[in-house]
Amino acid sequence: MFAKIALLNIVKHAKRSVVVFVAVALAVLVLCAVGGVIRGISDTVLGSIVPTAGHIVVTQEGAKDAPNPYDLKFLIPQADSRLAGLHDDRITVQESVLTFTALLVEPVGTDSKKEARNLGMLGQGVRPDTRFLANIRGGITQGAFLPEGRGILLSNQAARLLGVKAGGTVMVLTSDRGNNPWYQELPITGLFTSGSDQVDLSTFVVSQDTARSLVDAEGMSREFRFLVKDPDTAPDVAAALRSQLQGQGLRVEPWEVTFSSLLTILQFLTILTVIIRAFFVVVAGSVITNSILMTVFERTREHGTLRAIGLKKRQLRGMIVTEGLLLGGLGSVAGLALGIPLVLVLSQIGLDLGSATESLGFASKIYPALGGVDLVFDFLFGTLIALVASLYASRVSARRSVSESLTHT
Amino acid sequence: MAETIISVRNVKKDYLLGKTIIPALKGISFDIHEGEFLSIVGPSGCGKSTMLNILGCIDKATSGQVTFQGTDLSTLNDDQEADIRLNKIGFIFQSFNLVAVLDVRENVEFPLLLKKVAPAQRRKIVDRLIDLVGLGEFANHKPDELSGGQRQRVAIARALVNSPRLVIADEPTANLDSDTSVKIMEVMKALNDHEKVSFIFSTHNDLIEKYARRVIRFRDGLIVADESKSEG
Repeated sequence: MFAKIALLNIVKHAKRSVVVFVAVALAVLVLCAVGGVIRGISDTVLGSIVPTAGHIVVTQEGAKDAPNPYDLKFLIPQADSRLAGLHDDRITVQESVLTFTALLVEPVGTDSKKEARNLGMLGQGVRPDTRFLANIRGGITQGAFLPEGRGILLSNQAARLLGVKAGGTVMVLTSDRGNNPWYQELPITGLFTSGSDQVDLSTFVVSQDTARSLVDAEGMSREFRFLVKDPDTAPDVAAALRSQLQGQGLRVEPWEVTFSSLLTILQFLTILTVIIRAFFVVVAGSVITNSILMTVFERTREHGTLRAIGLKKRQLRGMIVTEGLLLGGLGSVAGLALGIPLVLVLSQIGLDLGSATESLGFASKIYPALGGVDLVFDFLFGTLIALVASLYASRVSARRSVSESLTHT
Repeated sequence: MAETIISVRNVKKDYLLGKTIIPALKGISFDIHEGEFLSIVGPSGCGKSTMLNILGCIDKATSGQVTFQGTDLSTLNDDQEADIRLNKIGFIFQSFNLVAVLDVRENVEFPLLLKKVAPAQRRKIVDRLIDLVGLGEFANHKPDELSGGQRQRVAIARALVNSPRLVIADEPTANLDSDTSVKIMEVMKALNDHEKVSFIFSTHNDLIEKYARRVIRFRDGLIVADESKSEG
């Protein structure tokens, strides 16, 4: 009967019901959207780590702690054969990468009066079919990722700063392992926009063969990168690789160790997002609570009348709570019905947070994502806040005497 | 002698206003018998409404005893009081106190919903009462679409819907013009005559007072006269 009377009240008090319904729906919608953005930031951070560097990285001992980690003395000799000798069923991808520093210079030809523009950058020598550098591979705007032969892939920003174009060439100045200067003029076979200014301004890509010829490091690589089926097993797989590489002067690190500073940032972001979410929870909770209390207390005289004609205290409480629960539940469903498509649309078009994430070294554009747990939380939040608020309101209303309620102004 | 429905013995009611005790009733005693058409009259502030609220289980006496069909009302808990309000007493308010969002039919029907009366039975009872108070053609109107007199008729129908032994009306004509007041009183009188419902109503209007067969006069929280008439 409570449900019947509550439904009757909801329908008959349409304006008040709409106020509570909209308050709950908006609160849940905001929570859903904020949750999606927060998850998107988190995914972007993690997404920046793994597709770039893999779950496990093998480098020369001492390279990581050296003043110049890109010093060519830290290259791994016989890289291809040593990488091929590593096995573990949990590994899905294993590649060697040759990272090196270089100065990219605009080719000015015989025009000696023109000052050549230049840019100090980090070269990534990878296989043309690499599974890494996802942000670059996915951001090709012109040309292809890497050609079979010689070629260089530059960001649009770097090309603009150097005054070069796809189809043209760029001079790549390096030093070989004997510290002798060396250069090659490479055709620009493609341009990309990674979504991160930092990546765009610091990174270019060449084939590993080209990289090896640029730094005179035949058969060498800077590091081995691995992807595993289950990221949680990365430490175990790293331990297995460590035993296979024992005595070879190589250091094996799972991504949690390699990117410990990034993980610290991620932990900070997580705490920040919890605070942001808590803030929205408090604000949304206040909105829902206030709208419910307002709509219940506004009807104190009506409640007095109903009690005067025989409604019991517990029936009054049941009626108010049922109304709150129905409106909370329906409002939460409506909030999710609006929030989920919103997050899905944003997950396709992305949100440009500009310097906010750029300064942390991640892509400026983040893609909000839905999380099942978040959605359950949002629904329960809207419903439970409405329930708690209506429980409180019903208690206050039922505690008033009938005569007090009837004379309430 | 008709059966005594309510017995009031030395009832006192004090209100606390800040630290000041305001005595509203200073020791009231009287009986109400079945079938009575009784009026409590007196100037504003004499304790009429307080007395009716206590009789209607809407308020409690500070001291003294009120028994309803042998049950001491001071011993009842909230649920038992609500049961009496639902089943044995109908209450008509000065300002009608209809639920604004419900139409005439729904307002009258609400107490039956609380009693879990079957829909068909509800409809039958409500239709009869709405016709009885002359609002058949207004059954689907909201209270704000009705005149003051029509609203009070709805309130009367609602008060009668559970076939109470007693209907208490607190200044039922105070917000109505003279003609409408007379019509309302005639409706109540007819119900008293034909449905054998006991009525107790308060007023400070001489015209209305004349309808009562018995008049209890209040002044300053005390009864100053209890007069019975052979004809109302």
